[in-house]
Amino acid sequence: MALLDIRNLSIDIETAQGTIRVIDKASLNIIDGSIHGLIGESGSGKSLIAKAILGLHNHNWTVTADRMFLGKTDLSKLSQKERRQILGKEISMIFQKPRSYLDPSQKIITQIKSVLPQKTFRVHLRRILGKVRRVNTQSTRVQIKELLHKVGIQNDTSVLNCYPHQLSEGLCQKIMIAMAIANNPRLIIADEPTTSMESVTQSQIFRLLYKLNQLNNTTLLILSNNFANTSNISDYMTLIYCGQTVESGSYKQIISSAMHPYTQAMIKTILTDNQINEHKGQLYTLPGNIPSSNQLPIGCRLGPRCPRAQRTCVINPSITIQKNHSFRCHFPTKLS
Amino acid sequence: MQPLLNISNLCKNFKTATGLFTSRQKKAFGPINFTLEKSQTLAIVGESGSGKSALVRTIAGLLKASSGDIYIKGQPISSLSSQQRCLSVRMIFQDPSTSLNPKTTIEKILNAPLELNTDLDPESRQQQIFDTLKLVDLLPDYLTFYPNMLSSMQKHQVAIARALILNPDIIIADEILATLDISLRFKIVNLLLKIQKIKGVSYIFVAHNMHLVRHMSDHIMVLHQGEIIEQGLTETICENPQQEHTKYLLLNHQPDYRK
Repeated sequence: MALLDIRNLSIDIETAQGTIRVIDKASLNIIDGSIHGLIGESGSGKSLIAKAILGLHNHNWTVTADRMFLGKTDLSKLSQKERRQILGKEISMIFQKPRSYLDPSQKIITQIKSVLPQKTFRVHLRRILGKVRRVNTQSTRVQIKELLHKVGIQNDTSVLNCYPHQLSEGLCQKIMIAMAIANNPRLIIADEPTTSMESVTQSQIFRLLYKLNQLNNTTLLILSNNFANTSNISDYMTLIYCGQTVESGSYKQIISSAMHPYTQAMIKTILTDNQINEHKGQLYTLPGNIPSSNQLPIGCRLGPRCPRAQRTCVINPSITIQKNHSFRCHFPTKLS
Repeated sequence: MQPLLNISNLCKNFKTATGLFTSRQKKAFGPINFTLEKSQTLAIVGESGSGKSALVRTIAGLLKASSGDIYIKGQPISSLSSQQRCLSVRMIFQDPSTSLNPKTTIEKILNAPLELNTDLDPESRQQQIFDTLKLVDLLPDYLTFYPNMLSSMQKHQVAIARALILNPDIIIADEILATLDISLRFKIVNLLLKIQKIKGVSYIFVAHNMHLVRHMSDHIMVLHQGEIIEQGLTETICENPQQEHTKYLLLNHQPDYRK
């Protein structure tokens, strides 16, 4: 069953140069309990999609979608206030560069406390009564301790009394994850959770996310620019280039039968130990650079850089779906 | 034949104050010896806190060594003026968006090292700037631009151009690839390799990604807690690492999640 179903999401941003369509008919279908990787280079609009799902957009954005369902609720029909209530309870987000998202002037303990479920009067009363009757009820401190143990922080007391700048980037990210899972959300969106981290810390964070998915059955949407890392962990993948979803399918479909030239280029970026490339030889890249958002080509946006482009590519290709494997290309071919 | 760069017994200690009159010495890296030949690439790998950055910063002259000597083409670095030093060793910093001055144009950024370190006249300086831009695949139109008008890839190209403009013998790159996207990373790698082929510069670079290290470098040096634990040709170290730490680093840290 689809947990998050987005069909033809478009985002237009009004700028001084006119309106720019940054996301062009993106579709995303996330199956309950799976890990979904949304892969694209920086500036391709991954974070914009995440923000549109959360409803965190600015006033100059126009978000339109044919369908935007979280489970059975229609996200596009909710008011801003109802959206805010979903945030944190149903969907929570892990940001990139955790140090910049944690408040530098507050201790970790205060920040974690603020995301825990608000205690109602009844809970307080029950706790006081529990003390009288000598029944053990969970205090906030114990709750926080358990949360930190879940994400693999052992020395919880010393970490809790630190400020974010005293902790390493990896630890900060673990705290962000702890804050994200505090309310047991159904969907966690991880926006480039491991950029500018060392490979050892990276694998720790990925293992943690994988464990969350396996133990709690939490659905994960991982946004990343590193195809090699993310493809390893994800069950389903969607590739995005300059705001257009180019290909989407399960891990096996993408790896073994990629149809879109962009996906094929991304697969070539996986370096392996058995060296196919000669030492110090030139590595494979697509020609040209990523266009800036105010100079996007019409039609298929990969067009000018695509090795298979022809004249028809100036018309946006329609989506082709074969057994849940969808791609947008006029000339799809399987790589031999 | 003299090696291009010879480091002998280089040490660096940081002094931290522990009381009003007392201080403590903390070792950043221990006695380090290595040589680097022309057109060779040395990769320095290690965990965080193993003293990689301190080492390359000391070689570039940003930090003062506590003891030991650096010889460039047989001359000790203490006998060279800072201008001569700049002409032979240049550094590319980690993040070009913060290392390029946002208030000056690309032309001024590239002109400054020439003005300060050489006695070329304005025409030949201009020519040098054009040649260097051509080498890093940038159009001369970008000279009037400010760094914030460029994309991250172009900023990296400008940073590389700034390092190259004095035709140095050694370029030090401190984790320049870590923050880039994968395809841009490949482009920068290709560019660096192309420049090495044309100009014959030597690189010292600090990196995490062992695949790329293996692809780019001729020699590898593994640091652990400030000391060299393993050093040698890339092939030998990647094929049969001797130390536990090297083996740990070489594991590409991508556990297989598939059953």
